[in-house]
Amino acid sequence: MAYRANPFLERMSEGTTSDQEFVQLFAPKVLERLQEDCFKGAVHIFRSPPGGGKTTILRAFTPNALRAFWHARPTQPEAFAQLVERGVLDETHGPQLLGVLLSCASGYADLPPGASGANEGMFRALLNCRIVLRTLRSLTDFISGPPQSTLDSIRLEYDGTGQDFPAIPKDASASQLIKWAEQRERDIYSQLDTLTSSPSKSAAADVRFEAILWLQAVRFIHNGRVVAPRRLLMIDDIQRLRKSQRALLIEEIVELRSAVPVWMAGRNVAFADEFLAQGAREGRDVREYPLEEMWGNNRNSQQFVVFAQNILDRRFGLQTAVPGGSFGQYLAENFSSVELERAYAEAQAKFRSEMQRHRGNVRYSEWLSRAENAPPVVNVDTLLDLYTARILIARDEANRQFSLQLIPLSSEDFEERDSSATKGAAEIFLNHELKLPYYFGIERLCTMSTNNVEELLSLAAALYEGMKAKQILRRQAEPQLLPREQEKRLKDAASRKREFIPRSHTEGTRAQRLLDSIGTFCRERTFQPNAPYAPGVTGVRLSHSEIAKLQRVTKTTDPLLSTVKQVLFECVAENLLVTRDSSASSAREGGTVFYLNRTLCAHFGLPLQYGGWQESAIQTFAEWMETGLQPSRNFRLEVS
Amino acid sequence: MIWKDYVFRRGIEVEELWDQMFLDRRRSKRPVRLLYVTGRGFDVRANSVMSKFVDRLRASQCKIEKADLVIVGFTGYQLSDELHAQTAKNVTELEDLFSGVGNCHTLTIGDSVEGEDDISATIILRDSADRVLKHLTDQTDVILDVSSLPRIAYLTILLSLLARIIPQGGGGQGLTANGVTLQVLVAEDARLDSQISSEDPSNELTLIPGYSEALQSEALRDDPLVWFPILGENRFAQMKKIEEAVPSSAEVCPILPHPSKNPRRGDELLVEYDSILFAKRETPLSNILYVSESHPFEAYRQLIEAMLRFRKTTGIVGGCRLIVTPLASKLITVGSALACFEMKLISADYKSSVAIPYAEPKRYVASIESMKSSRAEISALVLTGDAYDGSFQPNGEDLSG
Repeated sequence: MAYRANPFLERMSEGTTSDQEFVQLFAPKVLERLQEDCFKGAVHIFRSPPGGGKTTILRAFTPNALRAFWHARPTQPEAFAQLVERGVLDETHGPQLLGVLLSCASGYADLPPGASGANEGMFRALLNCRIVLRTLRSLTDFISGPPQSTLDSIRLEYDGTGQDFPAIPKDASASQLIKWAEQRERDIYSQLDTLTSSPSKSAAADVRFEAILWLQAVRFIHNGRVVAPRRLLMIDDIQRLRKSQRALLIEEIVELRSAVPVWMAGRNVAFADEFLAQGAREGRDVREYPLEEMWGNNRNSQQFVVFAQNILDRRFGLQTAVPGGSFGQYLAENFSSVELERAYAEAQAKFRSEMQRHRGNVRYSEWLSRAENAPPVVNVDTLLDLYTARILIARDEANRQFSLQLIPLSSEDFEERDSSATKGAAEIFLNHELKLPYYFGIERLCTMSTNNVEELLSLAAALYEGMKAKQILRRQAEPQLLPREQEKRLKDAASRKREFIPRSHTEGTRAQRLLDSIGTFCRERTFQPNAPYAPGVTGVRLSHSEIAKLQRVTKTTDPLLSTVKQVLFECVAENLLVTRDSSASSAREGGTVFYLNRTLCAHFGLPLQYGGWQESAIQTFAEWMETGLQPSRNFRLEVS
Repeated sequence: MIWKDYVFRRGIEVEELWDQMFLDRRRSKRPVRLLYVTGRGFDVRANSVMSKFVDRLRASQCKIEKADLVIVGFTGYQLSDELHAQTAKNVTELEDLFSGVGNCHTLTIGDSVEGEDDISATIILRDSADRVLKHLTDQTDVILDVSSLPRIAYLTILLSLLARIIPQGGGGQGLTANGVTLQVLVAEDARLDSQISSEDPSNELTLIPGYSEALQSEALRDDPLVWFPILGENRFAQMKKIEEAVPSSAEVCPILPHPSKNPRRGDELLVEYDSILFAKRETPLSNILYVSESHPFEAYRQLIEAMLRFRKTTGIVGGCRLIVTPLASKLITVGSALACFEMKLISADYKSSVAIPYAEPKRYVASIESMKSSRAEISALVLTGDAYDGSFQPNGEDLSG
């Protein structure tokens, strides 16, 4: 394995990992989250941003991976039990399901465009022959013998339902059928090489996706017995199809009402038009599973944390440079007393200078003395109390500008007005003003990954380098990464992610400018002295009418807004912005909140909680995208 | 090997070659029917190339029966206002230069494909090549000036022209190609090229039309894969994009420009791409191939020989897939295109098929001043035509390289 130096850099879906390694790294929690009806005859669509784990799920059901799960049952009992429970594996006989995995990233989008029968027919023909080809190759893996002799020993029979599929030779043997499929694919490529925009009349063209019916009807006889009666067709990367091809594929496969379950997996970008009306297509025959929502909503991502820790520990177990069994045990969760005392002294000095003008104000006298009395032992809570007091006084001051209340506020008032949100704001204020680490610990690492496995691994890779460095430098007295060290590494990784946006996106420079502007805007709203949107603002909202306006835009009617649309879609698809529905209230219509990716939140120094957002407009987005947003001068908390 | 013998001239020798060719044409009393294909770009080098060619053509006093200039334009690139203005100025100059010789046609890539709004770049390129080929009728001379054409555009056009002019490669009529002379002109200035930065690689990997099967075919999916990244400066983002599409089990054979004017160039490139090629893929250093930075036919030879070697050794397991990623200079890119063209022809049995994937940048940044002060050297590659019929001896030199 090329990445053994840092096991967090390897992508599991890559073909490089052997099936045995794949099984070793596979976190079985994901199987638990798969719904029971996934194995029923219907179209099941799995979608997520890149790195969400789609291909990993699909690969787990290919014959070789299933066999590896079966062999690894003593060491991977949890995954094995899950697969047995679903009838995919048999304890004695091994794999029971023939998973056929195909990718759409293989030239379909380069087929001639347009809705003509010939063009659509060529698309169907290409997919049909590839389904047949991959099914037969997967069958040889399923039977687990030398490919050619296994193929020669397979007899194909068809059930007597009268199902007809004229495009596929019914009387051919398995070997002949493979040759037919290879030749048909070759013919289609030859047609494409002729450099004409539309296919000739003699080009291969099918009238329906009948390979799915073939997969349903064919019986494989090997050594006199029927093998692989249960099948699963998995079509990956559907975002790589053109919109019209995707629509045709889903619509026609649904219409076929095949008894074979068809799993389709694609990035959210494939559903870009629908990110505003999530779940609109859901029905009896099409079921959608947004992977990031499989882990619960973002406010309660405990399930993802468990899953993520499992992934990290499995990878951690692959290496030997850092001893020990768990990744999390090397991430310190607490500050040293020296660090806390130093921070407290600084915080107290800032508190005094900021509260100087309230010294004679009887209303705050109790709160001030409560905050200023140094406790015998300094801990994080005492630090937070200082900042909470500042926030609450600033709020009270803002609310009572025109009233004259001279009754002192009591400690009970303080407790009453304090909340977890205010504590959250105090915590990020501490990070902002005193640079006391905020981005550290296993839970925050998982939150920063925005429910995305690939992001989790890239952040973990950065931390792992630090752990390894400590081992090499023989600083065994403190083998854990301190909060400050964790934060530095995570923020560096966040900056690298931001810097890479122009190099990895079609409208990268614009996307980066828009995200920077949203980050600047959120910082300004977050770090107001009274923390009005505690714990902070990390998203911007577009109302339904703004979004409708955006959807109507075309390249010809408004090129600028059309670019905004494209940039926004791309950011959502790539997980740089995370959308959440925002319901209507008496004062405002419903809409969609675009939250910043949590790793980017770390880059902008924002809190990691969801919930805080500000209303915006597409015109503002256009300005931010084109010219950016400069931080305003009256950034009070920063100035103070 | 199709271009075992070849005609390649550089600098002042290019104009001497043209003089000889036109002299030969005049002596044999054959008129010139010219198709000149160039780009509608911000790079001023295309103008100097055409200016010199038209000068020599006029001076030759050959009979020009017909002449067509096809200026290939593009949409979708982000350029500064200054570069946009320079592009418009260049087009006017090109049209003025050619106006005394023949007709000018403008063709914009991507403006004619209709029906859907998410058309892939490969389809657009296929359509554009089709439209260029429509201008190719009974010409005797076809010139492709790649100086101001984006890489994916000139690779597509060049490979399409070759497929039309010599469909059987070295077989049949051979490179004489019924007297159709196909020339590729390149104005190169390594200093200027290094100052033009390209950003924002397309999210979509573009496969040159006709050269996609190796990467896309389901039938070939389980075959071993050999990747030849031809390294050039400042292409990290594109390289990374392409690398993501190459399975990690692939055999990687990086191609370095060496010998080179800058003797450290190869080392610098290895450092630039270290994270992709070595830290991640652990590519053995013995896999590196070296090609002269200024000799396209050397690149062609090295690449085709390496491809054939892999084809032979993997033949025992049923062949292999070959992927070429040209990220180096224009000359080396043209050389590698010739190797891919030949490899495809000899892979008609569809084993050892070859693909050319590329991630086209969407944004170019260049300084007008440095472009204007550029001292580009013209190179000419004569790929087909009279030069290969044995009787033509430019300056009395031997044809073999």
